[in-house]
Amino acid sequence: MAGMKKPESIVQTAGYCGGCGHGIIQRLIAESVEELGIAEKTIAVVDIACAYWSLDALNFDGIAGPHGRCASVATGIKKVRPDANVYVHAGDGCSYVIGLAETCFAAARDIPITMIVVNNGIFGMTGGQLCLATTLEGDWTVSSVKGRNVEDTGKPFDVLQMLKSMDIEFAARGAVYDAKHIRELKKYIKKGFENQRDKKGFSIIEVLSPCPTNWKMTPVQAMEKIKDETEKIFPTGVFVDRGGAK
Amino acid sequence: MSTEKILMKGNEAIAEAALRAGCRFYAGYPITPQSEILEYMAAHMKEWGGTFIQGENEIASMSMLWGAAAAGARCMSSSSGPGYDLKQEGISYLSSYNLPAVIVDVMRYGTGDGEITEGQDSYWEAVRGGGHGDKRCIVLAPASVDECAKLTYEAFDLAEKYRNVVIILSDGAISQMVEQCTLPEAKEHDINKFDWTLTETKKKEDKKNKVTNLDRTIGKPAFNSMMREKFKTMFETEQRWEEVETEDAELILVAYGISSRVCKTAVREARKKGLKLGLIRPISVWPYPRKAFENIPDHVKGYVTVEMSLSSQMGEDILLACKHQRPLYGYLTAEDVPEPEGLIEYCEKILAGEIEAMEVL
Amino acid sequence: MAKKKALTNVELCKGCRLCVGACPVGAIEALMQVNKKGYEIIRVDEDKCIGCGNCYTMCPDYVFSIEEV
Repeated sequence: MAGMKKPESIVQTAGYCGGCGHGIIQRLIAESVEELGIAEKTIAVVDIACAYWSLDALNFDGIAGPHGRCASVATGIKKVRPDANVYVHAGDGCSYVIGLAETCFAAARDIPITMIVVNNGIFGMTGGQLCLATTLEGDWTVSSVKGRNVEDTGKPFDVLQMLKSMDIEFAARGAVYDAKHIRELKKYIKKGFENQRDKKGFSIIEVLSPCPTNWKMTPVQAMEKIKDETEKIFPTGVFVDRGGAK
Repeated sequence: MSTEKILMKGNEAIAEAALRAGCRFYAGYPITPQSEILEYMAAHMKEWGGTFIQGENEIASMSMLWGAAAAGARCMSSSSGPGYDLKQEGISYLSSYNLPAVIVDVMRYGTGDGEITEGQDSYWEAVRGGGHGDKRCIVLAPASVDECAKLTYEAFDLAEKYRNVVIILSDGAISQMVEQCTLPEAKEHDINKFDWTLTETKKKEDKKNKVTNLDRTIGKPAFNSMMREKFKTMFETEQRWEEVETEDAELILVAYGISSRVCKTAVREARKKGLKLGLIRPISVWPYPRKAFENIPDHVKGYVTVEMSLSSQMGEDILLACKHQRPLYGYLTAEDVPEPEGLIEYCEKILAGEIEAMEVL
Repeated sequence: MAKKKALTNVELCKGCRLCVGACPVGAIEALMQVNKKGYEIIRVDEDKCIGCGNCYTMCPDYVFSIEEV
């Protein structure tokens, strides 16, 4: 139980809406980096969307990527500064929709970065529109007011399953709906950083996370939805583990 | 390695000069007629200890470049036509973050469905800026293989001097031309040279760098005055041009890149016939060389813009430069390289009063 | 061995109530009282708290720290 105190690297209050999972994820990143003693080598790449709040909140060198291109920006940084600990903190709209190609090809190139993708099933920052990759069938959003109709929009798809066909280091999906899952998620995130420290390949950690504001739910209801619905479509666990950091 | 003279293609000269300028990161996507730049980088970047990436698309390539630039590396990308369109997002972001980078646009004509021809149809896109944002990019237009090398080499210094994007505006003809070229001396760039970059070498107590819109980090008033000052300084300091036989010219041709080479022949040939033509060749098309149009002597009856575009993309810059004090004519040839004979005939007609001044649309 | 307890900085609280359900011993009470930012806050019943850290783990706003008392 040691060290259950706000990590030193967090230098601002969380800028997110009440009950948003980003604040938890941001803390797990800070905890992991500090525990591994690599805070000074860390360069954050955040998306221009909700994850942008972590740019100033975390005391790392950081850059806000063009929406959707975080994996590419991180690739550029890592190639130029291979000893840096380069991570991406971005959403599912960025990484799985507009930037799906960029995410896939960073994986295909096995770029040794740690990519943390927040799957909240919605476009949070722009006001809650449907996310083609992750909004569940039938779910209401401001751009699917009668519920997601798969005849018009196709079905959500599992990007981690897609990435399984590529030779990457590590892919796992965690969730933030209870303390047990958050602890498990932290192991994944830490593993992602350890892989990078040990010069291994591409690590991606997807996080099932709530957006109570745009889901029009209380934070507690939103967490229940992840447990009861989202996790059934997007199961948590390790998808790829090539061996990586020991 | 000192300077050396060598026979090269325009595209290869750009790539080799970039490597010699310390460019150690290149990402791009194949498209004709710029592909030799990418191919040259693919073949040689490793020898220089740098990174070459064939991107999955132009946008990804530009974003990689953006990361590399933010991390302090000298970096370059290149494209043509529709590929250059896709680079606009990256150019806009680089500009709004005040990051230095060199981008090459090897112009062709139109979308090039099945047939790729030379052209100068992307002047506006390069000079006015195709993407969003309150920005100005320095745009240099080489007219020879030698100049491809010279301007590219210099572009990296300019990009860093102003923390700005510098565009090399080449064209399909110059890109494929093989000529003798003087290659500049190779130099190394220190990626830890600047205090604003992303690094892995900071100490705990060091202030951490956020590479983002500069107004967020230095405040809006400071940002606004810095940008105004930067635009002005670039405009005042970086105008480059060449003049040919303008001292007594009755008509001054204005052309850059491939068109300017034809104009040089036209000036020479016309003078044999007693027709006094001159040439102003902008080397920087932004900043436009307005100084070349100051104090226009009485013997100058007008300007003729010679471009491989039908819309006369450069015409308005000439009118701005001469403050509408002389009529403007346009010898506009789209995908065909202009021919000296036709151009001379056109100029004779102008002087005979048979051609009306062109209105810029 | 010194006991560990959850300490709070309720000024950081955004009233999400996730900690209330995360606490295995029901030691966290949701209050109607608001902080300076206007969010309804919580209170930890020190007698019930077992210092397990679930609240720290769950809280998106860094309200809790688990410290020896």
